Amino acid sequence: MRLTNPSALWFLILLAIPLLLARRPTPRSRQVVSNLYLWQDLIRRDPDRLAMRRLRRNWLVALQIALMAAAIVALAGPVVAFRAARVAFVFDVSMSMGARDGTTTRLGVARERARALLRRLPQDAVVRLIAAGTSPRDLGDHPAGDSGMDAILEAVTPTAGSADVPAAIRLAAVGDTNAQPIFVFSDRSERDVAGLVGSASAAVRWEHVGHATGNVALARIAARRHPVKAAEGQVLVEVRNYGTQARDAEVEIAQDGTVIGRQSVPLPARGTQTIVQDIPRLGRLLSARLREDDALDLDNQRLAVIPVLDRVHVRLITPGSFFLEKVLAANPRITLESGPPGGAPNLAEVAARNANSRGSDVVVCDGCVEPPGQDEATLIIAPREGSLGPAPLTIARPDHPLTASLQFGELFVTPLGSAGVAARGDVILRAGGLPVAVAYERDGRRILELRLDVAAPELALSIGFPILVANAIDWLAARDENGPEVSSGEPVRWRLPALFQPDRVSVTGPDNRLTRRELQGRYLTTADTGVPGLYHVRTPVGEQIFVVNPAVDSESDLMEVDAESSSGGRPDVAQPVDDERHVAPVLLLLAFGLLAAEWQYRWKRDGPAS
Amino acid sequence: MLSVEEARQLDRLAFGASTASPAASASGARVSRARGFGLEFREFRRYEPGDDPRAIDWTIHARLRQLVVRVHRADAHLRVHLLVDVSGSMATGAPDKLTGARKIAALLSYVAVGRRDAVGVATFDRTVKQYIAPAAGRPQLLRIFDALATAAAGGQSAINHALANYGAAVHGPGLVVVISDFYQAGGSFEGLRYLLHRGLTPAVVQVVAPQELDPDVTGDVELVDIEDPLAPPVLVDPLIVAAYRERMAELTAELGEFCISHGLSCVRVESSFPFARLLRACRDASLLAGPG
Repeated sequence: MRLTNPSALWFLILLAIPLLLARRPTPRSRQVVSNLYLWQDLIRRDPDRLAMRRLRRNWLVALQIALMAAAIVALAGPVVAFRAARVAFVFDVSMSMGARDGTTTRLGVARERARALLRRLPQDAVVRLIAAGTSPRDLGDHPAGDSGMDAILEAVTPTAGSADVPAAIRLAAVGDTNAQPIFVFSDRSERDVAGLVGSASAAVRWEHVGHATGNVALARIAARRHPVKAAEGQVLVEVRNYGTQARDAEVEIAQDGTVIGRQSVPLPARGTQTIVQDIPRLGRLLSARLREDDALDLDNQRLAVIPVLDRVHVRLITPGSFFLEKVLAANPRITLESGPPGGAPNLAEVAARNANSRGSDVVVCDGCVEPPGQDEATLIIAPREGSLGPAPLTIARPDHPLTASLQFGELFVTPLGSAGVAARGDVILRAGGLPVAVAYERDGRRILELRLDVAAPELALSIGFPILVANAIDWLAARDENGPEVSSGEPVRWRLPALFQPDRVSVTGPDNRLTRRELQGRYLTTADTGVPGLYHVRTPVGEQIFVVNPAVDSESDLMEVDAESSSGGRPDVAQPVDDERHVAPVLLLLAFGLLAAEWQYRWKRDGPAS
Repeated sequence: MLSVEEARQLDRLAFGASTASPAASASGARVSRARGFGLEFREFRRYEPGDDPRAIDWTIHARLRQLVVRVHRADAHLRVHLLVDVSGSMATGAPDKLTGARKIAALLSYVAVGRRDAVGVATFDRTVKQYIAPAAGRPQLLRIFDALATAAAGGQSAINHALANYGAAVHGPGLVVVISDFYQAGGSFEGLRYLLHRGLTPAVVQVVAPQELDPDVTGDVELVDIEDPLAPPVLVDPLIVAAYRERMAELTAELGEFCISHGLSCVRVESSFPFARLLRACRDASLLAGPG
């Protein structure tokens, strides 16, 4: 127990007052009676009664002293520590918690701290375990005295991703009305989460683990195909030294499991070095590995998926648009198939051709009002009818993939009549306020409506037109999706082929374990990416891969340690887990109760005169 | 002492038949068990020397040639002794107990005189302080009233001692009405027994004050004995009052049991009782009897 206002205890001197008053001969009323022997008989017959009378008189003094003592101690603001009946342990399971710390890891230190706390908790206290990964995971409630607690703690292992500790703290506080203590075992600073945990901050007891140490990590790996010789390519590897001393690191690069290069990279203190290696014949998967024995192993390997040599099949249906055909034909990532020349496209005829031809990835329909096919993504260029006057072309959605690297300058274009423009969709471009490029998805396929005269030289000859068309083909072919690389713990959103059977779609991880996945329309989502490595998405159509790499940027710098904890300012053993309660209200209540008892006693003894 | 109306209520009353044996007398209003010269015939018996020749029944002598005398019951009157406690304790209460005692003594003496009984009064504390020998007649009533009016409360009480002194001075038969609060440590039964031993018939009239039955004790109170102000006071508080009431009831019950066991009249009155209630209490205790 501690006192918030100990100086109030000086008032305890006042307790002498009732004692002195009780010892003082009190003025008593005298009454003349006809005899005393009857009264004396009572005392003589029952001496216990006399003793009880004295005791009762002492009770009164005792009550008064207790009343004053309760009030004075209440003024002193006593705070009593109770052992909490419920606590929550939040373990940071980010990659950095797997860093070596002495003979164990940071997470190992956290486990030891947790065990020390458990030993100090009542056996029946309930401990809620939460693993703070990229998204928090509730590991359930367990009795503190559970014999299997050691195994449960050992099952808490670090991931290769980052940790959303504030979310984990908020999860620990959900449904807790008694402000249970929340112990957070993390190598991050408590200041990092300050203000992010809301009302739960008062209950948080931060247990910092880990000491500053150097580390080398593979920060980046990227592969690209040669622009001309598609079978050849290059791999770029970025190595970062997070330590405070320069060192050399040996990087080994492998393709599809075969080592294709090994380099020693000199790294300055807290510096980055990039190496590029040519690859004469590209395979499917590249990996880079640091042959270093540093504090953190997980960030010593990184994977990259080599971009597939897969051109977009584009079918052009046009009555004749010279510039459009040239722009499409000049794009090396496109295989162009032209439709029937001349006149407006006959949709029935187009549908019949679709039935007989190989499926295209994208259809460019010049002069169409509606998408000609059923499944293909379509670039609809409105019929050149009802053209309006020239208007300045502006980008309405600069953040959209369709406008990447797109610049038009002060370009005036001729917008076509806006009738038939999709009511819903993202307006990408505007001409004089009119929407002239609207992107949207319908029935699982992407559609871009262009209401611009693509034959007009001012647009067709601008530097932005080929970029707009190339972006449009990429977006329609969904090349911006199904990214081949994610950070560990990050969810993956994967666009599935048009025809797929949900029960035959699976995702397997590096350990050949099926991961949990959700299907929504044509999109597959999985958040089970804690293990870094190669993942396979299998559909009846075929198999695609993506890689999960460690979250190096946020986790590999092991020098970022809370200065307060590293200076030894806090003990290694966890602080007591007592839950502090203010006792003053209880004492005041007790004082009132004693006052009432004293008053009632006096009333009973002296009647209304009391 | 008594108002006209009060006196009128007493005119038809007499002492209860069982209160005492009357003393043989030639002029009493009560019938005595003793043989005497009353009008009521009792028996015949043989003449013995010394018998009054006027009592010989000559008719029987003429018929049987035997001397036979007629024996009549003697006419008797009751001797009533009123013993009034005038110790200091009788001065307590509102109205004080002595006032109540005077009233009772007055009404009893009035009844006695009205029935031509001999009545006397004595006041006592430790000993008998004033004594008026029992006598009949109106002048006796005036003497008694004067004595009661001049009696003042004071001094320590010792009922047993006073009753013993009185019993030694008089003898029975007669009715001794002891009017007191009977606050006597160790009880007052020795004195009453001594009166019985002397052929007297005691009757007990306990006079108490309402304040004694329900003492007003607020907070710690020091009680001082009115008869002994120098004695150490007794400190009491309201918590002991209930026990005191029990003890008070115990005292009255002890008196009652003594009276019942000896066939005596016993009555407790409060000093605040009005005349009618005093009268009713005396009638209820068979101390007085009569119509009305």
